[in-house]
Amino acid sequence: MIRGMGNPVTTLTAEQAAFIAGPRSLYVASRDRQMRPTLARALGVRIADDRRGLLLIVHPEQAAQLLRDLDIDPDLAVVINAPETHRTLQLKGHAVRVALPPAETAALAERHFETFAAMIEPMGFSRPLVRVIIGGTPAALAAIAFVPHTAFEQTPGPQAGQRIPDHTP
Amino acid sequence: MKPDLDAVRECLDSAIPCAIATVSADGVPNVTLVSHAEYVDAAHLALSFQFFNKTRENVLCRREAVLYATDSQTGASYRLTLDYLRTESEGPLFERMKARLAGIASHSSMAAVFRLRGADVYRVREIEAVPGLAPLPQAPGRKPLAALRAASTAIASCNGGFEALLDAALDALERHFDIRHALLLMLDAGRGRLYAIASRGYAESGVGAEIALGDGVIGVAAAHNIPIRINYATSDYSYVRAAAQGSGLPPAPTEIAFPGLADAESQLAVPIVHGGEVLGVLYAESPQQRRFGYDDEDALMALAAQLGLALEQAQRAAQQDEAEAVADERGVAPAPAPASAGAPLTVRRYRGDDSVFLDDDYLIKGVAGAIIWKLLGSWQQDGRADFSNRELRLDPSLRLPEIADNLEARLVLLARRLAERSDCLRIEKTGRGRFRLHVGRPLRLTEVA
Repeated sequence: MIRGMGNPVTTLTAEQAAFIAGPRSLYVASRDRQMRPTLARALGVRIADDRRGLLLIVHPEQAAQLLRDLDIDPDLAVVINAPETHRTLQLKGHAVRVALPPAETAALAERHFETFAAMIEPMGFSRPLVRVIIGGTPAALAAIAFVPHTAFEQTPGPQAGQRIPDHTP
Repeated sequence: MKPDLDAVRECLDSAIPCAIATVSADGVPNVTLVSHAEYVDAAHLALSFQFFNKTRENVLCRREAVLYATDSQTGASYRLTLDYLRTESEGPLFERMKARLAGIASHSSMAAVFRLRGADVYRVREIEAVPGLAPLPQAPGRKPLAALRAASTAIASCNGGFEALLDAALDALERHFDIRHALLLMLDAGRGRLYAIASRGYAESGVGAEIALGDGVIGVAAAHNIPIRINYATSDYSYVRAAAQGSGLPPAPTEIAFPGLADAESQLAVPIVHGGEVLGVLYAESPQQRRFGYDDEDALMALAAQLGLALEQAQRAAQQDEAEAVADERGVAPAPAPASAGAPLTVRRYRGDDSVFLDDDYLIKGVAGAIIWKLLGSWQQDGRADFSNRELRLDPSLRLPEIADNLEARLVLLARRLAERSDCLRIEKTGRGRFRLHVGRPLRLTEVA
């Protein structure tokens, strides 16, 4: 059970959900008890059918501190960026680590890699390079169930940082 | 271990933007991408501040951030723990970042959006190589230190004086750094302008072309005594594009076109400094994106420092020669008989800016214009062809600055312009501190107020 579920949960619009599914460049950030931040790349994402939650895949070593942080505090921020257009969305909410079969997390990450590499290859980034950046050493990948509470426009510009009003689905 | 940003600075220059995480006053994490991270030194970096946003609010509150930086060659990634120190909204670092950001903005179609408000300076407290990654091996590449050694040796071996040093430096850039398009400019501090004195790789040499102090990468490098490096084309800093888009007016007749590449993506301008004073600028450019890295910048800064010292010594040696040459006129062959054949060449001089025209073609202005006017006057009046640097230096009509007159540079500029623009006038060195004027046609000198 995710703590802080009393917060208003935002439902992503269909358009936001499609944007997140991308594939996009994804980072997740947390903080520890001393309020120190950390961040890691997310290696895959799946959007819940009701668009009220995301499942994020991270590498257990790359995101070791973040996973530890989530054990003590559920606050998580996710930034979703389209490298080709610079459109950027940030979601803030609560998250908890969930146990999924390694085959399932691996399949999500692999799908993310394939689609992301295909998208970014014409921009001059080779598949082996993309494999390094959003891959990792062999490991059972971790899954994070994330419930967004607020969404922020983060595309570079004066509007960056503005909260996107909740909509009624 | 003390963090060493030098070891991972290529990540800051990466084609992959950095991400930054902060925490708000009430403990909520925030993550976003950074437009530009700039290496400052082994323990400091600066982030571009363009907009007031949550990251900035958090940083001002907690003064702590974590940056995620990725090397776009190997994929190696690092988390840098940062302590916010201050924001600089003017000065060298600010100007450097402004130029860099202009390139990034243009490259990412954000030119209308990105405007640098400040350079947020951070101390790097900790650098963590992100575990669980398997970076690609570093591809074998150019070795700027080896190139610097070879280029430095070439300059140290040059004993031909001021002009030979200019050519040795540009030759060395081409041979050892594979820099095919380069310019050397000298600063005319009195007029606040830089003039091109030597170049490589252009259809027109552009010798004599001028750049105002503070204008573009070259002008900013000279004005602030800092290297300026841009990885992507930006009209904000392109001399050729700016000129092409220009005011719609025809160029002034006394303007020599800047020879730069129309399609330059990468630009690197480093100041040539001696004794803390900027003497000029060494400028390199390339049609390739991200052609010059931090290592190239380091190498060219070191080379420019050596060149500054060598040019200053050559200038002093020339002055010493002049003093000795006064008492030693031997070895100078007699001047050839004045030419009387052929149609006369009309030489016009405009007193306001000392600009000189050969028939209707612009030759040069400023001190170099005043020099050629004096030489031609002596030729016409007294039949003199042989001159000494010393008499030029002492001639008040030339309005040379008393200190750092840069006479050698101005004579090189004049000799090169004559070689390019005239088939009947030239000057050549005839000995220590002496030179000869050759005139191939009768002259008609006209002065315009």
